[in-house]
Amino acid sequence: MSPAPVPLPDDVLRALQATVGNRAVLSDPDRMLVYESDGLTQYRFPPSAVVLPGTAEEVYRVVRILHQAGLPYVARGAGTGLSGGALALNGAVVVATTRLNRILDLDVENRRARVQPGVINAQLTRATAPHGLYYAPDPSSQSACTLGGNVAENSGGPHCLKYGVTSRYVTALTVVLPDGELVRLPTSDPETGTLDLMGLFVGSEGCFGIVVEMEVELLPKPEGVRTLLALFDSLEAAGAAVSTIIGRGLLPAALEIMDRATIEAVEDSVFAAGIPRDTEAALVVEFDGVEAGLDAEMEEARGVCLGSEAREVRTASTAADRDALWKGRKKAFGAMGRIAPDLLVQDATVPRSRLPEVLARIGEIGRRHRLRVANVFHAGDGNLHPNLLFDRNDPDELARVEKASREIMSVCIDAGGTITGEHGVGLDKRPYLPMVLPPPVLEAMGQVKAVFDPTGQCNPGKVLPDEYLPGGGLTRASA
Amino acid sequence: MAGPGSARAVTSPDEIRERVRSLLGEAALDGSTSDGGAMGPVAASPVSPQEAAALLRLASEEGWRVLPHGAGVAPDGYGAAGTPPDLLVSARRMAGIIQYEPADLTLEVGAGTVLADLDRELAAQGQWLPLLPPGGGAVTLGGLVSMGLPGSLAVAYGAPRDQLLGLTLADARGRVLPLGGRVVKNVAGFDLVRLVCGSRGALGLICGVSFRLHPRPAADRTLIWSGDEAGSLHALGRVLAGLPLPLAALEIHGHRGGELPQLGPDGWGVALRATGSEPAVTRMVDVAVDAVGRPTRTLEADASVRFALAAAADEGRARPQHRRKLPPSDLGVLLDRLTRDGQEAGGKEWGGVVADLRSGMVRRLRADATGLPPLTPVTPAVGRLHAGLRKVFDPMGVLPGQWRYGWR
Ligand SMILES: Cc1cc2nc3c(=O)[nH]c(=O)nc-3n(C[C@H](O)[C@H](O)[C@H](O)COP(=O)(O)OP(=O)(O)OC[C@H]3O[C@@H](n4cnc5c(N)ncnc54)[C@H](O)[C@@H]3O)c2cc1C
Repeated sequence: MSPAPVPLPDDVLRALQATVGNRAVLSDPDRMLVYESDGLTQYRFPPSAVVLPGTAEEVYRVVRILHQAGLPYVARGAGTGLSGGALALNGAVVVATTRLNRILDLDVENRRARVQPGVINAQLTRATAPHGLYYAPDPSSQSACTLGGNVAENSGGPHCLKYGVTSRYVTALTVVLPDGELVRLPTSDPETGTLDLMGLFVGSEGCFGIVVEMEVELLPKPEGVRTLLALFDSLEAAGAAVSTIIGRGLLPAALEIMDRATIEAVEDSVFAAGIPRDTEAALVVEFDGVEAGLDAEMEEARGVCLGSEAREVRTASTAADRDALWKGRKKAFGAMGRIAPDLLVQDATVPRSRLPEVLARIGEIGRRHRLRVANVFHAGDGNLHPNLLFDRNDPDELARVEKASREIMSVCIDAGGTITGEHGVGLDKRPYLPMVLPPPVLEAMGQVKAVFDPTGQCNPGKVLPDEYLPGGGLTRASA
Repeated sequence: MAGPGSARAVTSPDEIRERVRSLLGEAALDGSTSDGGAMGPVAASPVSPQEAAALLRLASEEGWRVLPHGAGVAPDGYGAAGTPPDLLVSARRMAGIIQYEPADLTLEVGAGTVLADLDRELAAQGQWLPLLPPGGGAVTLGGLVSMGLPGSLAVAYGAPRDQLLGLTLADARGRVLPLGGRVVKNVAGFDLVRLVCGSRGALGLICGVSFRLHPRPAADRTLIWSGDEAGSLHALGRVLAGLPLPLAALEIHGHRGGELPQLGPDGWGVALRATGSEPAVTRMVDVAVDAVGRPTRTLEADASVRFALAAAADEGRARPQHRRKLPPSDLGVLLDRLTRDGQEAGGKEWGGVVADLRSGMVRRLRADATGLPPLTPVTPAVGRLHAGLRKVFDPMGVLPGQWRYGWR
């Protein structure tokens, strides 16, 4: 699967070194090892070089050089992406934002922060906490992933049920376009006649250019928070409790489910959260807002869970107790990493009311393909994460993983859903995209991509199938 | 601007009408605007996205200037400035609920659906689409999305772009593009939904839209602090904006007395709206009153809704109008400057102003742009992106944006 690394032409290497300094250009295969893969672990694509610019200006000069040389390149944040977005196809040069990690301005009164793209998501929330503020989108990878990566993927998180995803919180974006032009993207404005290019850029998976600076909106911390953990004897019962909670007009901040396979993995790990191992589903419900009324909402949710045959409901109102209830959910991915060499984190969304039936069908697909499937997901949004556990050195198992993935995607589509809710299409879901988007839409997306990147050098081989990419996808132009 | 400029072949309205009739049948032609005389644009209302796409393709082939429109209450229109179109295309006949699953809190409706009508259907299920665009309840959902303007509830619930899950666009290449979907999280492919939202007809006719919904709040209360002086009211508003409360809306209204008697005789006031459970609303109100003192007036339940709708409706009617977004902390200086200029001008032709105290979105109503910060110029690189994107959906330049029609 892994093509041999392509060395960069000498003159290009020298130009890059002259721009960012020798130490910020890696071309030694050993030092580039970590840049060969990302969160989609079954793939390895060696880049031809890795560049670590230290300023927005350097990003723009690096992109110019690569653009003029006709070479492919790909932006990279923390490499936690789960769809292979940061993989260096065609020997692309990796432009990593690691050094662009400064919070440039924190405007407490106006609840805004201006940051560089390499700032880690949780770092921003930590920096704003002393002012009673926080950054709402909280992907489960928030202790590692970058804000630039979040913009590229339009990432969500457990609390996006109530607060919405990344696009709602980005208020300004400065990007380097694929031809090396530095622009601040406009939003829709009737007076200047501009379109919402900022909105279009969010979620473009590194295919429209590189974010070099951004401004985000911060929220005041809610006055009160209440958390509940309900344990069920069936996944369907937990799913039904979710539907009832939503149907009652309650709006929790988060509604998260873990199934038995996940609970077992967590309980077997150092992250043990004290959930009985024979629990079929654990549901985390969280409410936040002004103090008054929270207890009543919590009581109602508790009643719903008990009415849906929860065998036990635990509640928490102090920060320490809440952390204990969240512990299993937050450590689920880490724990799973311990029970199988590889993990394919699937991601799809279905209408919330179809959750129970879709979960049952996913279970059946796993059994039929003799695969371990562990579900841990954003239930309130209908955003499923069936995780397929496997060993990439077992080609037969790998083939079954791919078959099962495709079947899971069609089950979700048939239920009125989509093939990705927050992890993006990247490399992984490219072949599935035509299952959800008709040819005219794929064609329009290809045309839009070509407006930003007519030569197809920016993150080649991602999102759209080759036939819809400018120039039919890029094969290494020069060298 | 490019597009069907001087070189285009001019077709007479009668001829256009005839071509539309033979393509879509008599029912697609709206009689109403022919009252405007033989020179008025032909008005057509396709009944499906497929019909809309066929019509736009024909217009492209013929080089007719097309203006997509909703209920005609958006604060811009061909009538005010720029060149009149040859053909008005509306989604009027694509009205009504396409799919509504109360249990999923999602909804898909035809773009011609009127917001107030939809609101009645949602109320029956205890649900809510928290959008209050300029024009209030009279706008069509297609028009609302096409304009994409944030209203007073945008800070709390999101602007149209944040609440929108998907839409169906008929473009000028004659394509039907179902974009996004009906599920609440969806990142399959590039986000053309957000590109189309706020594109003001430049990319095609929006035929259907889907949204996420919210539970209808059990309690709804608006507090108004009236005054006669911008400076002190803004200071009060600034304190309220700094409170860590999830308020539904927080705006300062200036000189809108005639339209909004609730503001008091001077027409100046800060309006705070709290929605949610009864205890939560009571708590928010208590915290606010503790911070700044008793309001001049409290509007409960329906009265609270009516005030917000009236303010939005008035904003839809106000012409000319100008919008700017600035850091909320700069609003005080701006409001002072506007009132000072107003006093110097004798206060007569002053118009009005409304500003969101948390987002910094200012709307200057019935007045020119004097005193407002300048518009952000469109740089050449951004201009190239726009031209390229418009061509993707409208290669012949028949849609607004490629020919000029005005906001003012
Ligand atoms: C354990 C775990 C849990 C996760 N949980 C969630 C979750 O709850 N919700 C969720 O949405 N995701 C989740 N993810 C996925 C992932 O963390 C997110 O997609 C994240 O936003 C990726 O950020 P990154 O910095 O790692 O980006 P990378 O993986 O480095 O890159 C991702 C994409 O962004 C592009 N990119 C990076 N930086 C820039 C830039 N500056 N400009 C333009 N493009 C750029 C890359 O080219 C690539 O296409 C999870 C991942 C893991 C491993």
